[in-house]
Amino acid sequence: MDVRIRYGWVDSVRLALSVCCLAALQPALAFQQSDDEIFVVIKAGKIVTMAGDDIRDGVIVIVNGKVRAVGKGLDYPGNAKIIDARSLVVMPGMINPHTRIGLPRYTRSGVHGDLTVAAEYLPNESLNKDLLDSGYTVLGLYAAGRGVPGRGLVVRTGGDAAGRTLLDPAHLWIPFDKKATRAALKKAQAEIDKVEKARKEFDEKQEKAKKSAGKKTPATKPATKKAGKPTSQPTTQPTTQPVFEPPKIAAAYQALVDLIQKKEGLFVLLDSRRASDVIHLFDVLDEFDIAHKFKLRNFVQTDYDRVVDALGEREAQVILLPYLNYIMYSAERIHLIKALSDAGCEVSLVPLFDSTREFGVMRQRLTDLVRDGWTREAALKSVTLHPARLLGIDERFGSIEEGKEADLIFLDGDPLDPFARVRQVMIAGEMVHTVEGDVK
Amino acid sequence: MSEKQATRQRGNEATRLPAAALRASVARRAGLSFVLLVGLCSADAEGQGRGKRQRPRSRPTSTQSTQAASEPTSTTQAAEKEKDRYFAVINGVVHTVTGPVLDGATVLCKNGKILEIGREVRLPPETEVVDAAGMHVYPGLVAVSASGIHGSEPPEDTTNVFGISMNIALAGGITTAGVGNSVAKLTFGSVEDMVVRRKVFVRLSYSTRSPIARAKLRGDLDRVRQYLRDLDRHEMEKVKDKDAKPPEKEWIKGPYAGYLKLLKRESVAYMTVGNVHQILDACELAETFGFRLVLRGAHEAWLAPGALGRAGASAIITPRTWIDADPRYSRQTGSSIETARILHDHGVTVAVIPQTAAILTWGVAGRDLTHLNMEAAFAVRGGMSNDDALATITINAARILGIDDRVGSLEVGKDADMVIADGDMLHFMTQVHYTIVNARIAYDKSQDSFFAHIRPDGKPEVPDFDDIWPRRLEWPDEGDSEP
Repeated sequence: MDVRIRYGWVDSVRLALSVCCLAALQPALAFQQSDDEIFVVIKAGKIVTMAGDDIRDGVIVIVNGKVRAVGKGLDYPGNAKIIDARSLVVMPGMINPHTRIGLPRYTRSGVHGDLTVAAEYLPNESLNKDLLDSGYTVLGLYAAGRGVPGRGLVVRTGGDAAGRTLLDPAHLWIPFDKKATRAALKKAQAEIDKVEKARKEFDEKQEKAKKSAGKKTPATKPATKKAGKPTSQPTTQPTTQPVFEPPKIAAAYQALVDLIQKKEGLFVLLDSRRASDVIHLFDVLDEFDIAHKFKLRNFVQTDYDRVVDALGEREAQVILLPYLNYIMYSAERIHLIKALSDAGCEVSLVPLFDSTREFGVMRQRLTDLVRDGWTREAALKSVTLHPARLLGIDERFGSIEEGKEADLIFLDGDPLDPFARVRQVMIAGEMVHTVEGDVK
Repeated sequence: MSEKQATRQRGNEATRLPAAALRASVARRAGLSFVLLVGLCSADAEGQGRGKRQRPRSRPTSTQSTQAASEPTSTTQAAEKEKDRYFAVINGVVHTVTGPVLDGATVLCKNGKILEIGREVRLPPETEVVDAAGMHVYPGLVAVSASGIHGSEPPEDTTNVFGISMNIALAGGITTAGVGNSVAKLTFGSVEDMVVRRKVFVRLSYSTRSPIARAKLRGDLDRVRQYLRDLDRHEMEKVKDKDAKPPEKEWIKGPYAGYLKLLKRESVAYMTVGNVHQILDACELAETFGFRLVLRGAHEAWLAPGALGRAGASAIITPRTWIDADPRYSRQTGSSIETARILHDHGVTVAVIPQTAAILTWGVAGRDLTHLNMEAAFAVRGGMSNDDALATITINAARILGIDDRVGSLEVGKDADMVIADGDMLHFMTQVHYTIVNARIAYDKSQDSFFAHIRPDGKPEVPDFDDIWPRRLEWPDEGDSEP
């Protein structure tokens, strides 16, 4: 990215004449430093932006915790705080979209669309330190159990207490149970139908009332007689227009109702254990058109290779484990992650288990997957941009771009270099974690 | 080249085959299909279909890639969806089971049903064709009961559609299986059109070991019969007296509802019986109350075939059952391999099921559903004709399950469920090459990871020495070789 922003202390007008379109989009005022703008500038050896090519010897200009500009040789105010990371590699903080690390072993069964995992979550600073140490800055926590156990929570692992919670309540995770899932969705549909029916009845009643008022004939029977209300209702036209009060939707099903009604930002993460489950989930999704993403448990031997094309055709967003799998009942290896990625899926990867060690070796696992034929770009996106898109927080996270949060990690080598480790972590423009010396 | 060298050459061929099979399985996973496509099937069309990446209209099957190949543009997609799906098996020896054997006939199917069977059948364009030259085409085998192939009821919600059991059962030629009290097809990779029928049987227990339960069943049946008589009487009374009260019917629920269906002959009773006393008791009960009866087990049925015939009962038997004669009785006891033949001669509909009605991947081979056809072959050993034995695992099994209007034979209008095998279905050397369910290839031996390497040329000859397991990776060097 060859973005050169001319910046002067006095003449900010020249800025508008910048050749690059990205710079042209910059409001001229942006660089007029006001009192409440705090500039932080990172001079990085390499910037892995996840949006275009890597930038060598680049600069990241951060204003109030948000990235203002990324590029080479950018100008910045003289009083900006300079972070010299010329020997380091900067990349966006890693995101785990599906984990329960640090949460109690608590499960519930039944439909609980009204509950969120926030009630179970208690920030554990020592754990967060370990997570920051492995480069993870955002976690997507889920409610465990059977049926519809509850809504998730998306949190940062460090930084200001006020900015920690990103989404609450977040998406719904549903473990695989075709019958239970379909029953829950049917119940939610019944709730919708209930409201629609009540509205229809209300409208009919209004129509009738209007007609009788128009005729000006005293009604022999009050229109509101059914429903067992006292018949002393005035037969004349009411002075105020009655307001429709919809019947209450069962709170536990509200989230599913929102799903069916395609509420913005809400989706369901459908868990599955094998290819057959995916076929069954397609069957449910044919019936209920809801926003959905998939979690595939591709343990050692897997038959997910049978649904690669079907998932690819849907351009599904999938969460996988960083395994190089075997084909079911066979010693033949298959790079399922690559296959899904090539077929058109957007792959996010999560550590094998919810342990800090697995979080720590995640980059090494990515290295393995790249060694076996996956692309470096896809591997790095699978822990940054793709999980951000999956969770619906890609407006703020997942890459180093203008307007996104400055949640960055500083490594002393390439992210896929097995010897590289995280040296510093920045959250919202503030350094929250630093590793000194040779070992942790 | 000397004979020994030639043999060695063949030996090396044999060792290389599994690797080729493995490659073939990789090819299958890449979405390729070996099926011929008459009409348009070019690499370009295939590329177009794959590149489009639209939400699949139909659920994925093993033949989807060839289906997608015939979609030229997205504007015609709606029309494509409505388009009829043709499928044909050509050049095979077609065993219709309920009709003649037709050599070199074509079975043409439309949208999963058989449209035409005959010699001079014109194939519409874009028909998916399987060439069965030199092979035999049978209706899909029907396993009267099975566990493990499908999930629990309802099967369309619980089945592992890529499961190993379904795969092996298809390799054994089974296309339809009883699951719990339903009947479901082995629609590999899909849940579409899986269930054929639900609530097939009413299971009765009429054991001499619990006389109270026995008396209760009789009493309950009697009560329901009385209700039906009262209902008939009420029908007549209604003509004279419009206010005549119908008999009470609130109590008819739970087991009584089942009994009512039995006595109205809307359903069939299913009883597991063993010795001749139990068989005679069951037949007597069925004759007394006039319901249809299916007996499972019935190893002593050869002693009272007439009773079964008179009661109109059907039997699900295992010809290989071996139960010794009991020396404490002065009468004849024990099992007989002739049971199937004797029952058939007395007009009883006989279906055959192996000892273990499931797919086993352990234990002694040949006693489970992997070899349903072998169980029928044992009925032949007991004196049954080949054709009748074939009927025990096809049309008779379908009749017992009440689905003979859809499966069990190759007839126009029936479901396109077929087995294409390289020999007589009842021969132990015969291998199934294709299994077709609802006019979709559910099993293709050449692409299968378990069976592709076994006699891939399909010649049912006795294997020569080189093909004996364990295969040698390399022929040992014997020193001197021919100049």
